Amino acid sequence: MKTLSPRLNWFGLAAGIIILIVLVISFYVPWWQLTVGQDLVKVNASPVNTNFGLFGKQFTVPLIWATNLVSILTLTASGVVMLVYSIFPAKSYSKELLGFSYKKPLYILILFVSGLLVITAIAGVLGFSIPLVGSTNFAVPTQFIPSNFAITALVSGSFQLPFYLAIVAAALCIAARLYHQRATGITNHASSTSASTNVTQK
Amino acid sequence: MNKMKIALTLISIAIVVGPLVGVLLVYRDNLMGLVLPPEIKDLSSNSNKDSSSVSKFLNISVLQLPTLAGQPYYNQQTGAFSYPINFTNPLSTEISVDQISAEIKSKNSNIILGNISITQPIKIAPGANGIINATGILDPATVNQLKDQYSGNINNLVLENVNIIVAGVQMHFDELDAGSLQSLLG
Repeated sequence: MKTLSPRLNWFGLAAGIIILIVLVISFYVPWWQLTVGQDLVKVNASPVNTNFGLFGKQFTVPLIWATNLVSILTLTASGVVMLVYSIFPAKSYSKELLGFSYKKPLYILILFVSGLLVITAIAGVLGFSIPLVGSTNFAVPTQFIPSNFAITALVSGSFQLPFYLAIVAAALCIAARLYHQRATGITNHASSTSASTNVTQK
Repeated sequence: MNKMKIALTLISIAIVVGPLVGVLLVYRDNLMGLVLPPEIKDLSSNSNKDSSSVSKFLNISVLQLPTLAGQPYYNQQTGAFSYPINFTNPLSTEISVDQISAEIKSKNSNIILGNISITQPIKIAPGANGIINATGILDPATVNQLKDQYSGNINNLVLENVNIIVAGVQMHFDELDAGSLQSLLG
């Protein structure tokens, strides 16, 4: 009698694929975007590619660029290792592969959201109200501009598609970890059944 | 600890440490450059906090004040006038000028003579100049009264409550020099 063996960890496979998709999309679409006026000031933030637009000029901050590179390498390694693990979930080294890959997207997601929260909180203390989601009318604090003059602009913030995909990827990674025991358990059961059959035949 | 675990740990460390050490080495002679890119440095070096004038502030923030373009027109009978304004778009993206409105006031007598506004929003291509025709009506009776009061020479006009909405940014000036607008009144 044949036992159906889950040779793949399907959650891990889906997670690995989505991690790599998130990585590629994030080069072109930010996780979170902030615009002031008609794109006078633009912040494209993501762990993969963060850049700023000021009066039509694009630039990035070298230290942020380096952390982006860390995230690119981390997500690449996590996605690839998760794919390898998913194909061979019952190998002796599979637990190490899973342990290496499943936490990283979640860490990146948590660090990204924490960073945004900290930056918006600091901006709020300095008098700059930055909406994480939605729009608000922002008035430049009077200490930064001459007297008898006022500037207000519409500031809009929004999370974009790669951010939500990253949440899905992180959730699938956790699901892959939870499914690991079951997957290897069934596989072990299948191999032990097969082994006992061999013994009986002998 | 098996070899796989050691290899994966080493990869994790290299992934985090490599780029950060690399960028630190590149910027080791200019650590401020790590967080302050040249674009921001240029902007902050042009910014002179001592300068309190609006025009200086606008020069550093790229958006420039509109200037008169061509000859203003004034009809003494009806009080209607038009005032062509040249607006330069210094940005690399298209911008729209949605609103320019102001009150025209005689500063000497503290009397509002009329209003000025633009009839419709216009879009200006990157780096291009756009001519915006601002129109308004001055009250002929008030103008004549002031001319009588100041021997036909009204020379202290100002624009009050100036509101400009450009590229989605609203700028408000309590008062601006009316410039050549007063030449309309002779």
